[in-house]
Amino acid sequence: MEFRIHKTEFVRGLRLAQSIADRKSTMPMLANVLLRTVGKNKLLVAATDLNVSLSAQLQATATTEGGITVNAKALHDIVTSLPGEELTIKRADNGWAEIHAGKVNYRVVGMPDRDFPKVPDHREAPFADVDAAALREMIDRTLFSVCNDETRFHLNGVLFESNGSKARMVSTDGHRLSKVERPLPGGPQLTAGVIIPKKGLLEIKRVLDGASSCKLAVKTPYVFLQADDLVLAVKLIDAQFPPYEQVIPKDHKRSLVVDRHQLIDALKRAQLMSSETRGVKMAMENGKLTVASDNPDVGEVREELEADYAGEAMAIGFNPKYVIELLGQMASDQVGLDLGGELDPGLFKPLGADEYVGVVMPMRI
Amino acid sequence: MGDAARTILHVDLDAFFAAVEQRDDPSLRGKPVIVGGSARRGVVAACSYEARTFGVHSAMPMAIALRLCPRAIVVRHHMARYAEASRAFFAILGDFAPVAEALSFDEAFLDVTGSERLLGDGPTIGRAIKARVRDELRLVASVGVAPNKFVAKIASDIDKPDGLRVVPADGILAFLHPLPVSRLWGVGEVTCDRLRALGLRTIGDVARYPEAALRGKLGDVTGAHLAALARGEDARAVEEGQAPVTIGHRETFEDDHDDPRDLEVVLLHQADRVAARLRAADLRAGAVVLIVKYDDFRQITRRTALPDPTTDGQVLARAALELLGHVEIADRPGRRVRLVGLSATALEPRAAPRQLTLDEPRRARGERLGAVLDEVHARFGDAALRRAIHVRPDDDDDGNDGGG
Repeated sequence: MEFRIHKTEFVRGLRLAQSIADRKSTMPMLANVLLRTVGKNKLLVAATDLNVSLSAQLQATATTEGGITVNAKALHDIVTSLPGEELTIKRADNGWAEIHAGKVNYRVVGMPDRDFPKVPDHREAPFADVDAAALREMIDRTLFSVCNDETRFHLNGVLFESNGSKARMVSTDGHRLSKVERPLPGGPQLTAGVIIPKKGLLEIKRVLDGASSCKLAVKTPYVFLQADDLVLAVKLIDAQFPPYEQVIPKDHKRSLVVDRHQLIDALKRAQLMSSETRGVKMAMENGKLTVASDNPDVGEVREELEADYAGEAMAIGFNPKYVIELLGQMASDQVGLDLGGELDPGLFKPLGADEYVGVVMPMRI
Repeated sequence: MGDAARTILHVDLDAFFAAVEQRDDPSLRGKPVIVGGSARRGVVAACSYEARTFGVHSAMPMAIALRLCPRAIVVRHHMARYAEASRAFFAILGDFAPVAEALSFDEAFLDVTGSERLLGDGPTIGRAIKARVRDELRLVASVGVAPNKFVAKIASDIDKPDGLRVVPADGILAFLHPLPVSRLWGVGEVTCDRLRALGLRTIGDVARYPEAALRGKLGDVTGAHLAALARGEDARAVEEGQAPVTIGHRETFEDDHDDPRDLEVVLLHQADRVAARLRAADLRAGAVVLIVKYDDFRQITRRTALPDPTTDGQVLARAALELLGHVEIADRPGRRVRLVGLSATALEPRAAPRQLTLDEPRRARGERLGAVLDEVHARFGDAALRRAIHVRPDDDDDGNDGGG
């Protein structure tokens, strides 16, 4: 096997491959990237951790056909360091890979390509064009509230619902929930939602970053994303997502509107006097919102914000991190907060047409 | 530091569990009595002085105890009775000092420095406590009186049973120095061996050994600590209600188990009991520890943090069962289980700020069920209401943490 490839073209594939490749696996092969010539003008670059798989068909010139696998991280670092615009890779005896660029010659330990796990076949998947920017935005707006506790694997991803014209993404970690809806014409027509794991979404985001358009397909047990010549296959989480509608408050006793940027800034200042286990207190009365926090070991802070509020006075505690992360994903100037009692969930939503809501459970303080 | 100014009492009930059994059952009096979970397995939770003369002591495997003293009468423990006696004991102590630092069910430190003007000097108070324990509880207490906790604790032990040893400030060194190094607080088998290797057998030997050398051999912290104790110095204050670090239950089985399902039933029961104790102490658990001891006495512990701190026994149980699922249990030597236990840890006060969860209603139901269980148990006893899975034809009471 021998091929010649442009460095920038190669790095485009290797950057994704090295982030997917699993260095900690008990299977050493999973730390490697597969390089295999396809005809005379293509090179297949593939990586997998058995849950997320990449296969990229890059422009290259093959002089001899064949394949090899090399440690993905090492190859990425080597290639980015090479001089010049082009390089060649050749399989030598005993599975070594020889890398040449200008006057630089590397010899790197490799492993035979026949032992590389099979990457999910995307050729049968029902791809359709979707708006890459919309998809990217939906992921951003839900990824932060995914649950990281591995024992609750049904919450370790984002619920994705789509009917071909509109799509919805929902995530929750048990303390908060985010839900976003967007028109997504061409999206998969799903009879039930699927759960896309967090790591898969991070890689999807990476692929979308450099893409203006993309194709999406759901073919159980995978969701496939194609952008140009890159294809990601992400294994779905096979579990039941909890009935999220039940925890989104439908009616409320109190309603407040406040400047979103001011509230974020006030919460960040209050956070300096808060800690993981102590919340920030938000007290509302006629026309104003007071954000306060105190910590016997550090000190205290109070800040008054103008707010549109006419209900009876009340105070509620929140983990400031939860509220800041949520507000940071909104785009509107003003944010609305619907509340029941001080121990009931708070419903945050941007003012305007944006179909995005966040539910945050308060802290009992 | 300030040692000369303080009068500390260490009060310890003699052979507490066994003494309660002998008090409540006259046929046991004057006989070797062993309190423990089971005649064949398990360990000695407590034993009467009649049994001790045969070499039996607490924490000894039951099989060995019975070999030493075949005529011993083994009785099951009655935790509720010990708890009641313990409460009465601490009520008495409360009359003699504003602060009683409980070390367990049956022993405590008192700082009576401020009480002496009213109640008499340390020895007088010690005698008064002994008299009241005898009259009101029909139990026997040993008391040590000294200027600090370390010396008081040794003093209460040295003349057991029914001891009263007073060590005045100017008598500390004469009292301590002939004693073996194993009497030093914090010295276990390992440090004991290292001290012996240095030729240090008595506390006096340690006191005469240059402190710098001791620090060099044992490390700065341990070296300085032992040197200070050997000089009879211990500035620790008597502090009330040190919050427990963990609350747990463990059970040693009659027969080794090789089926995880048997252990699951035990863990469910233990989880409910641990949860009840959490609620009684107004604490929440942030993590669960599973303890498994194999038939070769190898013990492993596995810990998991809970997403939300709880007092719900079912949540504790679920976490423990999840951990159990990753533990190897099989029908072959070294993989059969002789003991299983569950501890709640990362404890925090129930009144501490708490992040509420989206499934708060279900969570609240779990906690409410716990409160109902507590109430029923308080009125009708522990066996009155249990989860259906615990009710078996051969249902057994379990063992319990805590000494006697």
